[in-house]
Amino acid sequence: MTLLSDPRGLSPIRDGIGEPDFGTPKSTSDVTVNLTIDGSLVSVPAGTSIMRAAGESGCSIPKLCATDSLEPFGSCRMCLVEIDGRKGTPASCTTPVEEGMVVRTQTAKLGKLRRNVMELYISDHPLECLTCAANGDCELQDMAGVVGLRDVRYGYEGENHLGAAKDQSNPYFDFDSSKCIVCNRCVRACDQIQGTLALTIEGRGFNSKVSPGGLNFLSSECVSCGACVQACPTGTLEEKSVIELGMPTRTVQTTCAYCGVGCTFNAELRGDELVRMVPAKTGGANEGHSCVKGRFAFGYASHKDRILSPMIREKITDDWTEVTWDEAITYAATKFKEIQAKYGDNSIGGVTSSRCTNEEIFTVQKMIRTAFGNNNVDTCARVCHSPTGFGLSSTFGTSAGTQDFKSVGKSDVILLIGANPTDAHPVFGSRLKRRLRQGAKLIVVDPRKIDLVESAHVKADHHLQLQPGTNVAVINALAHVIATEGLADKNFIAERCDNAAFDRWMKFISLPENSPEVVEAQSGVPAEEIRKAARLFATSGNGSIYYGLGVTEHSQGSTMVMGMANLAMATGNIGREGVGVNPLRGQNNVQGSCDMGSFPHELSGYRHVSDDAVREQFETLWDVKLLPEPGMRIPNMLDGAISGEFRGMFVHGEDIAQSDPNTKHVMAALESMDLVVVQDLFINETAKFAHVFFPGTSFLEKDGTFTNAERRINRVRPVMAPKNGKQEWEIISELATAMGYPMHYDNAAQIMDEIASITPTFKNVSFELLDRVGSLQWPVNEAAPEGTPIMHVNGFVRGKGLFVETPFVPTEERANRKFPLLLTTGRILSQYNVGAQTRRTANSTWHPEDILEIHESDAQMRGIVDGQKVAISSRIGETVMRASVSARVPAGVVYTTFHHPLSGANVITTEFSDWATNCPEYKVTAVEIRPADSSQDATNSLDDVLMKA
Amino acid sequence: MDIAKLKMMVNQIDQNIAFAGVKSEVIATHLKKFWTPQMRADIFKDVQASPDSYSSDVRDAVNKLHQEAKA
Repeated sequence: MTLLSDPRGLSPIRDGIGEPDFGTPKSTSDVTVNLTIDGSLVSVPAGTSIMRAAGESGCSIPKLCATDSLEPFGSCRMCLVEIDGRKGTPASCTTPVEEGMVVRTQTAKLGKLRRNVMELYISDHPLECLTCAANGDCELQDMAGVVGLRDVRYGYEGENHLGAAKDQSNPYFDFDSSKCIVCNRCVRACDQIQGTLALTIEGRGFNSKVSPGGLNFLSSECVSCGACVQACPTGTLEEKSVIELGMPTRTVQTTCAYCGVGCTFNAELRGDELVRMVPAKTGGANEGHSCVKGRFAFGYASHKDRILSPMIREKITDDWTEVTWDEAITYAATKFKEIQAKYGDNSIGGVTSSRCTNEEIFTVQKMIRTAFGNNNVDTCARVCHSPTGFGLSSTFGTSAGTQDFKSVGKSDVILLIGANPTDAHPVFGSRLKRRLRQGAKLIVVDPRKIDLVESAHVKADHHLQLQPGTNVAVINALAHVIATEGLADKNFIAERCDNAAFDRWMKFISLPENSPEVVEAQSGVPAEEIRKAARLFATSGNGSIYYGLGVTEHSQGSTMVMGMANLAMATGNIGREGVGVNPLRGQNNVQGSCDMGSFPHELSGYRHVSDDAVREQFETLWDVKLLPEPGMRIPNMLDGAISGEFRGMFVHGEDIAQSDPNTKHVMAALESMDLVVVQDLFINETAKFAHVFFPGTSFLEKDGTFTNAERRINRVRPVMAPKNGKQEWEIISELATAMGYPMHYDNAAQIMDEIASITPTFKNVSFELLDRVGSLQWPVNEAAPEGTPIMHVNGFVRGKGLFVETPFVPTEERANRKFPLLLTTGRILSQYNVGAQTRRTANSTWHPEDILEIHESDAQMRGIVDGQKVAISSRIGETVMRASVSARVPAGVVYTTFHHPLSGANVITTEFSDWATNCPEYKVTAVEIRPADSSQDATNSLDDVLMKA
Repeated sequence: MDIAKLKMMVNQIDQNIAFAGVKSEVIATHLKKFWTPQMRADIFKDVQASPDSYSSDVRDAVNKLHQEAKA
């Protein structure tokens, strides 16, 4: 008997491409069914299809319309089998196994049937296999061989589809419908995997054809996730890169470097040339899905703008001079030491990058704490999810989300706050939509009508369209209803939470000031809508909370995170699948950068620098004395630069001149410094103020790990050699050494070993284990040797869950007569953060510039029409962008993205920030809008600021 | 450091912080945990110079930290 388990997949680095395809999805049943297939005894979980059972036992059944990422469809008639005691030849993809079943997959009768079916397909298919881009990766070609087709009796003279026109409108893939066999895999992928339903089958019978709706793919609702291309069994949907370069020959599995979902991809190459990125079915975060960024937008790594040689200059007005690595490192080290000699040890610091690996981040913070001799290290998480760390560690005891992404599949009601996953975290957004289509309820809390409020087959049950800046009032009102209407989970609270804190919180939250009726006046959300949403969340079963920067980037970001934690605890929604409090992290390794000790007050594993015992461990390991006091945060460093105390900065893979608030202030600070060292792929806005430029490595060249928003540590494997000649951790080690602190590693695995040796939550993590099991969600230790998908299962990390009072304190940033509108910001699907990567790809086809969304009444009042250039002024500055009159934003609110330096959204954002962490309040800026002067049409606002700085 | 910003920050902490306990001690713990010694020294000077710009809780917190630093 062959007892089968699902093979995890193939070696992460291998010759050849593709992953095994068992035709239908894996069954998760615990019940085992025994049957006989082609004479072999096979045991599989109940619910498994005959096709999958046969495939897993090693006797693949021919197929065309089936693939294991989609539900079976039973249309192609290739997978027919014979079953003892049954009439006919059922399709093996749609027939589940039964106990004692005897199946034959290869008989003369079946062979004849399959050949006949294949003959019909081929009679209307171009016979150009040798010149087809899919040659070598075409299931139709493979199956024609498998069934032994030798002749087509029907001729090609009759009516056919061979002359059908190609749709080449999409920048990344072509649609050649002459090769289409109408198997529906692309249509079903768009439906079942992506959830956009952009594709359909148009026409009937012979006229049936795949259609994107509208004129072509580019003008359709297609989001270019690539699921259809992945699903296509022929050359109908084919990557342009494959058409241009040819079929790849080898595979390296690695991790996407865009958002915090952290998708696993198979990088498929010819020699050292990357041909395409294919989402890996074995990827824990994405399970075979992708978005337009990860799937296609990797061209920036080889963009002509990339800098590959180190450069130095005395003054920022000088031209750059290319130098050797030794010269650049010696120059930077000497200058840093000169500054410290003149202005003190505390006069320099650095910033780690959430786009870099854990190993690179760890070495940067280590260099600052050892070679720089201070704790002046901060990270870009300062400007995104620092309130998550503060809020969740205060209430639960750990600075991370509680669930894995898969958990949303068990949620009955989802509370989505200040996040737009279909744009910013698209692969998670698809998971979420799948669950909603299965019947889960959705409550959206957002000033803007995001796609999930209402789109194809998705409609939120409640949209609490609050005024920017009133999150805390609304979360308190939701909790007030639960507390005062007896909807709290008393057993959970009694067993799992600090009861004294709960009693205090109950008293606070029950106050009339937190009632929906009072909050309605503050937030603009009708009281009855809040009451209904609260009741729905508390009474619908598993309730989960997902949130984004619309929560954290406020003056009360940390309070809001604690407010959500209170709500989850009050309803007992912590510690099992389908529940939890889950930050959707902005960048690929925000979680990792926080884990690795990038904050000025914490060493790796979130342990405070003042903890003598912890510090002693590091001091012993690193053979250096560490400071017991917190260092400067980014805003402190910038303020210190203006006042002359802070003189030198190492900026690792971040563009603070574009991403941080009040651009003018940031630029003035950078200009004030004696030494700015930037390590990046490109001369970004910050590098314009740099004296030393260290060229960095793209994710395709890095060797290390990223940690995604679900605490999943994924391997980042080098797909090609570093184009700059060195791994970034090598450069950092050499800089530390040149400054007098010897630092050396032979490889990135050694750095992870060091991290594991000193960080309890990473205790069992190693490259060897990651290569063996695929990925690990921390904590990974003796209690959880292969990781922890769900946290706080039997108790909170801090012991008892802590309810914290969350009084609503309105932001200082208020609309008034001069600035009557509130600007809020966000992301769009095709672009990413400051756009350094995506702007250098064809993704700009969809979003070539930042656009200001404005409500019709606000536009009319100001004489603004759709598409017009408008000037946006705040108390801080002014910028210009094009207006889009939109029903997505309510009257009084305007919205834009921040992907393009030309528009420079942060020219106008203020320096108000979260009270606990200084995370900037990007989401609330009082502004006024007016039609731009003709002279402003070509204004480059960021460059203007640059000129004036 | 920019004293106006430090003043705004500490007053914002005062308005928002709501952990259980004696408020001045809660504020002091927060400042000790997240502010550099220089920031704490600067805010102490300003509290001495213009005490009316701060609540009694902030004053007590800052003074407490100053005493600790001296000890």
